[in-house]
Amino acid sequence: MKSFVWMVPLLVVAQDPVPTNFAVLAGYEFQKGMTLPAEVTALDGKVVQLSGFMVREVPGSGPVSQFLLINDACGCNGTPKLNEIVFCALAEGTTMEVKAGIVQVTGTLFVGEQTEEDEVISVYVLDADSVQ
Amino acid sequence: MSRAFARAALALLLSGLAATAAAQETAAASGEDWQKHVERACTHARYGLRVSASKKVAAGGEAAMPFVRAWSDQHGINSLPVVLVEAIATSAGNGRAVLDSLRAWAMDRDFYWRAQALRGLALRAKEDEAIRAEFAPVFAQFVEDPAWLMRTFARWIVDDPARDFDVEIAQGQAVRSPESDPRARTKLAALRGDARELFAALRDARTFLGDPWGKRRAEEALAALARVLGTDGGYRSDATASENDAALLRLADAVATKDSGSRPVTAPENDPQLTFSGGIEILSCKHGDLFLRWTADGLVQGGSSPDCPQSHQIAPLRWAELLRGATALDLPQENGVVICDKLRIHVRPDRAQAAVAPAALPQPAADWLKQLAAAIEESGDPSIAGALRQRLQQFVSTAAQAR
Repeated sequence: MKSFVWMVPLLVVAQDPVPTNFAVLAGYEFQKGMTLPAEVTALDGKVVQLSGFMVREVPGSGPVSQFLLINDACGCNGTPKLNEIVFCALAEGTTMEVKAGIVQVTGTLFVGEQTEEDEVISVYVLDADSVQ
Repeated sequence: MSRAFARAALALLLSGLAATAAAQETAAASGEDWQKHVERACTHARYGLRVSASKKVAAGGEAAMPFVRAWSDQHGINSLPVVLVEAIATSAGNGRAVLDSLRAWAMDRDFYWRAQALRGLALRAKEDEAIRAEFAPVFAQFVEDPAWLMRTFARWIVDDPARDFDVEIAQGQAVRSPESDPRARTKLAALRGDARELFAALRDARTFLGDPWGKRRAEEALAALARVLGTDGGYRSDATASENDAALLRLADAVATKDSGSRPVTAPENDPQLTFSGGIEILSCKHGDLFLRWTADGLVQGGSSPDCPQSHQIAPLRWAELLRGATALDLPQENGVVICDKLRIHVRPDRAQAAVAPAALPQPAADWLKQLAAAIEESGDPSIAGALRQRLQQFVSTAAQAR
């Protein structure tokens, strides 16, 4: 049932999602402290829709409340750089199984460096409304 | 506990203690808490902090390597994350401990990240003649490796047009077939800066069970081509073919100018006009990939690359029999803990796909896939049937293996 729930949007999306992709999000060499490209910052706060692979931040099993969305099924072909990862968080109290294969995620994208212990831990964070 | 197991455990413990003692002496000398950095690189819950700790360890070079070894000895080699191996491969310097670790990792078929280690050796071999000479036999050994990234990094060094590897070839260590995997051809072209090969990949739009691998290949080719030519010509991988027409001509002209050859042309590469109702994908950094997909009426396409170059028609009665038992592939979405190698199963369009970690494939599903292998063999392709049987060994559950 839980899987089925995630086949449909969880929330009514108030605005039409802006389609985007990893060619845009990862189309530059990320450096800590850099000014991000206008094409990318224009997406900040927007409801976007993009496709990718769900990956856990830490290997494990069971339902997740957050996950990484990346462009490649296997990290073998180079470790994803921080601008090649969208850190997705599901709504409070919601979990889902990690899906195999491509998923399409819709939600509000936040663009900008998030730091922890003076290190960049993310460039893109997405509050996911639906994962299909 | 068996005696053999107890002896092995004791040896591992002593080895770990020795490595830890050596590591602690080194740490005291450098003033850095390498043990802490290695632990963070391997275990921190935040990906970004694992990456930054990995870079710190790599920057420590020789001083940090004993702690990496101690961690590996204590927790197992596959507890080393790809971010750490890649950081060491990219930027840990050319010290003996670094080189020896990269060599040992590259040579270890059970290590998930051996291709990253081989890349580390290749990067150094490109810059340092002595390192190139020392590791020439290592590269020659992997030019036919089933894992495409291993092959690619080995061929980058062995097939260097500017070098002569005839000695290794004469020794029979580097006899190699043409590269058939489109992913490998593009990766190798990106490493070499081969503009024509990169240009040829720009219009790849092929998919495998929904995975747009051709688009990723085209994006990788475009990024590399832009580096080689100094321009992307305004080409956008997310634009339509007609929107890219002018940019494609500009890139073709730039390629022709660069190598003083004729203007190249590239044709679109699309999926066949078939509807695939199911399939499996094995991605394995250890043993190489395997792709199989089938139509509702039993046409099976497959191969070690996602373009599925081999095609076979299963006899109708045999296929109908197989389909009746295909419920064995109805698995939960996650089966086991995937670190790297995984089996993806797409049994029906209306059902969620399943991911299976090594040693986590239930016996009924393994049996069904073995029956599929038999049917493929009956249809006339023992090679792909054999590859499927061989790859399944990694995924069959340990409980089933014990039976």
